[in-house]
Amino acid sequence: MAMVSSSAPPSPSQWAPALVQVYEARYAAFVRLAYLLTGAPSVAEELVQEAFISTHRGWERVREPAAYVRTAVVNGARSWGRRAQLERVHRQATVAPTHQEPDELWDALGTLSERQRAAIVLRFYEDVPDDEIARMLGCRQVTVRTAIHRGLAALRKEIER
Amino acid sequence: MKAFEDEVRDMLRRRAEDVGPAAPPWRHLDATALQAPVPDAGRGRRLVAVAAAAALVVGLVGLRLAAKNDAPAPPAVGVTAQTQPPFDPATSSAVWPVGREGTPTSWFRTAFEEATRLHPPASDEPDEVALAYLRERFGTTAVTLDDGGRHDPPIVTYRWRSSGSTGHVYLRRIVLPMSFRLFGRAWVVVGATSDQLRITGVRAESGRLQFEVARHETTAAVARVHLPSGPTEVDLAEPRSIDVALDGPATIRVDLAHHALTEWRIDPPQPPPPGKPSANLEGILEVTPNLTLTQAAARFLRERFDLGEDLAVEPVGGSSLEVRYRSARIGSGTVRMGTTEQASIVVAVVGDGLMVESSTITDDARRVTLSSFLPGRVSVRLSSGTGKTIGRGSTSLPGVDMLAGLPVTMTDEPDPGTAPVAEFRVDGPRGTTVAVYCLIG
Repeated sequence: MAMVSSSAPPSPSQWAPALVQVYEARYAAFVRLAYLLTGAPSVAEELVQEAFISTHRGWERVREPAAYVRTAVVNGARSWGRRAQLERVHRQATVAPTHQEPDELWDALGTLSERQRAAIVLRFYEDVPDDEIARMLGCRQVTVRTAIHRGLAALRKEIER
Repeated sequence: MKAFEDEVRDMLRRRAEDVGPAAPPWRHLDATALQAPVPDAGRGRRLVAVAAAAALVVGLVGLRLAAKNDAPAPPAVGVTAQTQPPFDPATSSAVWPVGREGTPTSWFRTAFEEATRLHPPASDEPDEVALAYLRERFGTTAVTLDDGGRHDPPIVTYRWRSSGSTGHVYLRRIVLPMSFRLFGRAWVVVGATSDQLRITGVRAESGRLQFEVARHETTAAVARVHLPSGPTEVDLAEPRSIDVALDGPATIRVDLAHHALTEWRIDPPQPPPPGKPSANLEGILEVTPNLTLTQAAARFLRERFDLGEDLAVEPVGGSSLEVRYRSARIGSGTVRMGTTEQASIVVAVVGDGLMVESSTITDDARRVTLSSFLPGRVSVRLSSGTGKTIGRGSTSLPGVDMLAGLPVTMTDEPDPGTAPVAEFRVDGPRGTTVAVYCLIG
């Protein structure tokens, strides 16, 4: 039956080919990054989808699609992390474990601030240079280095308990 | 330290393998785009967002069917070949969300997602959903839609035809609040009417659901009235009255086997449950020195909502920092307070029945996921610390047990360092309720 649509949805062809390419090539990698940043697999995919939406919407100002999406993922994860942290404080609840197998270092990662966690994941998983991390996190390079240093110290301290 | 850094690297790589998503097909990515706020889009383009785990028929017991041989025929009003259904399609709860009966509230998220994955057609084409619904209800594929439907966003109405019977079926467009990766648009059936059935005298109050069933321009002798225990046949030689116990939401569903159907959902009036704000309530709405908690709460409400004497407040008591309020103009709810030695602090106004599940921010938009016990039009206004409006959004909420994702169009930048204040308002047939608090994120 021929349908009369009530709105004019964009078709896939309206998406920029470069964004399509990034989506097909990097989607899974971004989800893994989001997972490391949040520790929540169910949230990771949502964040990545949001990041692609955001990139699509802001396409006119996007120069490097992959970098833009990655920054959007990091920002989304940080926002989510702040809310989750506030929620935990508010409810005085503990974080539910996401894995059955004990992993002290992974658990310790969850105790870091969202900035420390993001800096460590970007440095040690994505191998992003400090200046790029600083740009993504909206802070100075020295702050990134401090966050990484303190984050590592906190991780070490946590697992030595 | 170097060795420890390597340990961290190894752990991250190992953990990254915990998730192995495959890129969703294009359909999904395309669908997500449909939710992006469209600049200058009119209200009609704002996708109504209702994730629908609709109702179970609850608590219908003690059916009493009585022939009305001595009673006069019911007045000739009700569900016939009318253009107006006996329910409001914009706010009525779904009777068939996306391909099957609604799921229990407690299962809401997962069950709904399962339903959308496993039970097509969670389609973005309303005619597909309408036909699937009618075919399932009639148990036959001999159902047709007469035309392309009447589109009045977010509602689409079709004229259906089956074995000589005719009627209307009503669908409402929905958007999933969180799992939007699945479908940008989906449609729920919120009701159907049949020209061959008259349902009159519908009353849902005092724990009873009552209505009368009669045939209209048909020789059908028997109608089926669907109850949780299964369909019950009633003789249509005379109008029949139905009187059942009502303990929660219920569905009125009557059909003539295979060729006529009238169905919609009843959400009887109940006191709304306490509202639920988004997780963080650390913002401050107002600091008032030299007033008690109750006085400060009353003052805030009166000034914010221009209330006069129509406001009753009372402290919850004990060590609680909460004040209950009630007003004909803004409903009932709780003012959450804080205190210092010299001042009372208004932290939030949480209207009964309005639940805000989450709020998220993207670069240029904000999305609030909420549900409301009270059906109606829900709107949110975001303001900066100085009171300037920086964003607005509105949608229809169907009420009980529903979630909605509400896109908020940001019109201005928030003030740096201050959280925007969100003022929610639900206006519907059961009155108005409000909520005010900072959205931090």
